[in-house]
Amino acid sequence: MAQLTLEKVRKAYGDAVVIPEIDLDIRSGEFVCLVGPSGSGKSTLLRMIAGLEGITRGTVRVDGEDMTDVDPSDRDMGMVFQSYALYPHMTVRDNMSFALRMRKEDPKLIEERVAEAVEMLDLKGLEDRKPAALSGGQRQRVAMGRCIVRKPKLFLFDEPLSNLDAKLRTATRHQIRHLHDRLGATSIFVTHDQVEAMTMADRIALLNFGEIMQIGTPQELYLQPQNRFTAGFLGSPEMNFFEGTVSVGEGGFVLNGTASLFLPASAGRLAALREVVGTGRKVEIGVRPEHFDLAAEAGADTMSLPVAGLEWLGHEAFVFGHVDGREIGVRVATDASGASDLPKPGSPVQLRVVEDSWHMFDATSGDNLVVKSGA
Amino acid sequence: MATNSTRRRNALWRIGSLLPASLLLVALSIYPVFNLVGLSLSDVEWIDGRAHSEFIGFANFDQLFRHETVYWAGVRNTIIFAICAVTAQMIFGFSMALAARRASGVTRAVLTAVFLLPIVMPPIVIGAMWRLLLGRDFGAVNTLLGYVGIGPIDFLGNPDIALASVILVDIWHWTPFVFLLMLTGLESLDQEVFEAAKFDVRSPWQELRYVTIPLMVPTILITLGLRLVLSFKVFDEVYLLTGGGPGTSTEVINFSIYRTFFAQDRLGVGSAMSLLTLVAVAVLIVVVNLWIRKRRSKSQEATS
Amino acid sequence: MISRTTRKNLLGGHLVAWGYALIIIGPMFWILSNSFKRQIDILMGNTFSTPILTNYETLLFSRQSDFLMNLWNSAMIGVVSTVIVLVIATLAAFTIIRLEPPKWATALLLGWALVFHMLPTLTFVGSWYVMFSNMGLHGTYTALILTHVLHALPQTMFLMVGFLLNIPRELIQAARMDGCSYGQVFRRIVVPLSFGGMAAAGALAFIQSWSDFAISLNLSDQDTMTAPVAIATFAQEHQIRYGEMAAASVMSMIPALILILLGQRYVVRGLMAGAVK
Ligand SMILES: Nc1ncnc2c1ncn2[C@@H]1O[C@H](COP(=O)(O)OP(=O)(O)O)[C@@H](O)[C@H]1O
Ligand SMILES: [Mg+2]
Repeated sequence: MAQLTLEKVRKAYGDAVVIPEIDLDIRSGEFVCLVGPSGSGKSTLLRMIAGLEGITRGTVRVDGEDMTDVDPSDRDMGMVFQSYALYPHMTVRDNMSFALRMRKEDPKLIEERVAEAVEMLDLKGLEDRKPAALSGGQRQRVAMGRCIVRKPKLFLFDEPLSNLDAKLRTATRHQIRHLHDRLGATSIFVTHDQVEAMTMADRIALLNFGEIMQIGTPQELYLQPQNRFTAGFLGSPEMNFFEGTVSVGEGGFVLNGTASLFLPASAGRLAALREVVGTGRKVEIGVRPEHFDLAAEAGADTMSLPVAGLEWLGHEAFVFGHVDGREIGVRVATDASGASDLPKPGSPVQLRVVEDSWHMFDATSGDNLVVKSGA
Repeated sequence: MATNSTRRRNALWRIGSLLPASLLLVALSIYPVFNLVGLSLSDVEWIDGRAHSEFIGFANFDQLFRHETVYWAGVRNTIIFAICAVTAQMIFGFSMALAARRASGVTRAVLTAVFLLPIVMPPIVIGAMWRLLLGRDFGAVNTLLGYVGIGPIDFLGNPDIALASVILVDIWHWTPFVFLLMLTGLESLDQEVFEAAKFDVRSPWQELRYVTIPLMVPTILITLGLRLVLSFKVFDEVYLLTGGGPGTSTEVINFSIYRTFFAQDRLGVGSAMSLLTLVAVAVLIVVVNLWIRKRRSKSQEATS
Repeated sequence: MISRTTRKNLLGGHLVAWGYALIIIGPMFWILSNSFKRQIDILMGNTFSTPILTNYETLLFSRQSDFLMNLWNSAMIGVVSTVIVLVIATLAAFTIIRLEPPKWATALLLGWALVFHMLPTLTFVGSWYVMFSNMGLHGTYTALILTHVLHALPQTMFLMVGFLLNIPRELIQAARMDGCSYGQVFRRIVVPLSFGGMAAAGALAFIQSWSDFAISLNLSDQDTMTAPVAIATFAQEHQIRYGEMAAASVMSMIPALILILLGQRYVVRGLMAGAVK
């Protein structure tokens, strides 16, 4: 268990700046996910923490101790690679005990630790196999076992689930989180998959172009995204965005832009945002698919959406259509009777935004004006 | 602190691991070039098994350029040798690879094993072997020719055909190498291209001209360049087959250097020869390399 | 479906290839048969005669012949220089491709190695001769082994660079995280995982050393003379002893034959990789 601090960490390859400057605090015992689109610098950041990649500027501290210039072999961190990187010439047991043997630990202790990890990861009977004779899932567990036996200060994961099939991925997700809790470890988990991040993390750090867009609990990021990027990245189907200017209306705001949309608001939110929108600034309104209600008939507070497609998933369904060339997705509830009363492709549905469940982003800076104003 | 010692150890390893290779190359391949410069500008004599040299300026080069006719005959022969031998090897090797590329597993394995033989056997043995085979009075080749009524040919003793004989032996020696490279090249090509081409080409000749050869250009260029430069190394076989004779008819550069340096003990002139050859071949290497690189990027542009 | 013309072409192609194979094999059988003939039978051009072992016996066991020692010298120099060059080249290759030395260092090392590899060896031998003589090392095993190591170094280094590129970067990083210094990574991960490559590169290095003539001819003396140099001396004596020359040639081919029989895969892999780089 350890606490990690990054201070003004920067990474550049020559002129190419991958990470301009990052400050990050990870508490002892925390499970933090680094998420972001591909190429956003997640792996680079993780490898800088591990010491595998040089740091252009800044400081890495573990429990307050400066680790910036410490060799990776002395950092006491364990890492699970995307490709697992198991030593092909060693058996499962030798793979797992390698680090302890390199540290010249007592053979008895090594044996105990390996047995413990084998037990924990359900690898009994495979100890004498070489990696080539293991399935993908088994290899993945050996890779974790290799970290576990060491009881390192920090667990680092670089997309360790991306080579598994969907079903196994879900199971392993739970297993990793469970192991983390059981070992009381501190873990940093890199992934580009928002579901992994949402389900596993205590806190999520969302990266884009090497900058942290937002860091917080999954709930914070989902419910109170600080900016348009965060709002758009999390959630599937994606949040719907509408551009335009906003004026104050009866019991809410009215968006005038690509589409005309009524945004119901409570008195509190109305008051908080009245000044912000008064200047006639350009904004983007964000509404998640689940924050539309289907209205029985058209009205001043509804928007008409011609249904182009329908995705029925059992416990829910999504309706898709286009408004002014922009795709809109709406979640609709399904009842036990099945699909009979769902909207039909070809006919329009009337949408009403749920009160206070929408976001307003500054069109240029992308800041969430709702969160900012404290509403 | 322990952590610092790891860093220091790793830094040492990084330097130390390159050191043996670098030292060896510097001491035995870079220093000798400078040593040659020194020797070629000196009059060198052996006293008590040590070389003593006295600076004499460019006299050795003067001698080399004006009077060492044997060396210049060697230059001429080496160039003829390189061009003829390599051309023949490329043509034979490529056509055989084309012919054998669809061979089955066993056939391939046996062919490969046989074709490897000349490549891995000592060149001096090849020299010895062909000396026995090409002998005027008792060689197997003349025996065979005798059966069809062609009178004994003095392959190695006739100044008019001695160089051709040496070239023939080199073709025998290196065609298999070209063959194997071409075969590997052909087999690493995307076979689907050929299947697709079946619909477009009307004859095997067209397939060769418009599909196979353009795709093989990189392999052909590399093999050609490699063989061309390496054929300037020829020495062993000539040493045993003809010793440069008769006269200067099979004299090659390396043999001149050897004779001047070791048989005649004329270290100064020998060094000048070595240096001149070294620089000339080095220039050739660089030129061939650049040329291949240029042609290759061109052909890649064309195919991509 | 194979059309008739294709089949004809295929057959013709095979005939050409097998014909060439015959041209390769023929001379070898000829020299093999000559090694079992008396001098007189060879000179008379007799195709068939009762095989005798005299040539081999004379070569190996007679007082006047040093050939057994020549073979031993070749083997010893070959094995020692192969081991040394493998170690040196693998060390350098690992650092070059995975430990990020300065770019200029890599370019210089590999660039010069490439040029040196292609330069005629004879242009260096004279200089070595003078250097080793001045150091009192002429004719010693040291001189021969050092030059043979150097001779095989570029090719071995290129081959090992190629083979080590197949070891994933992440494997080495995993070992670093597991507490290995560079040296330990090399010993524990790189070496065990590149045995195949080392076998291929080693086979070629040994063949090169075993076959070398240009260097050994000029840097060896009576006691350190290698087999190829000895074979050449047969040809230079006043009365050429053809039978013994043939027998010696046959014996010098044995390592090559063994390598082809046991490790064809490695030899081909090494040759091809070496040529394409
Ligand atoms: N060695 C390198 N040299 C130059 N650019 C690099 C290097 N390694 C990574 N990058 C760049 O850094 C960026 C971040 O890469 P990475 O951390 O692997 O992204 P992620 O893991 O988030 O997909 C990418 O744009 C990549 O092109
Ligand atoms: Mg990544």
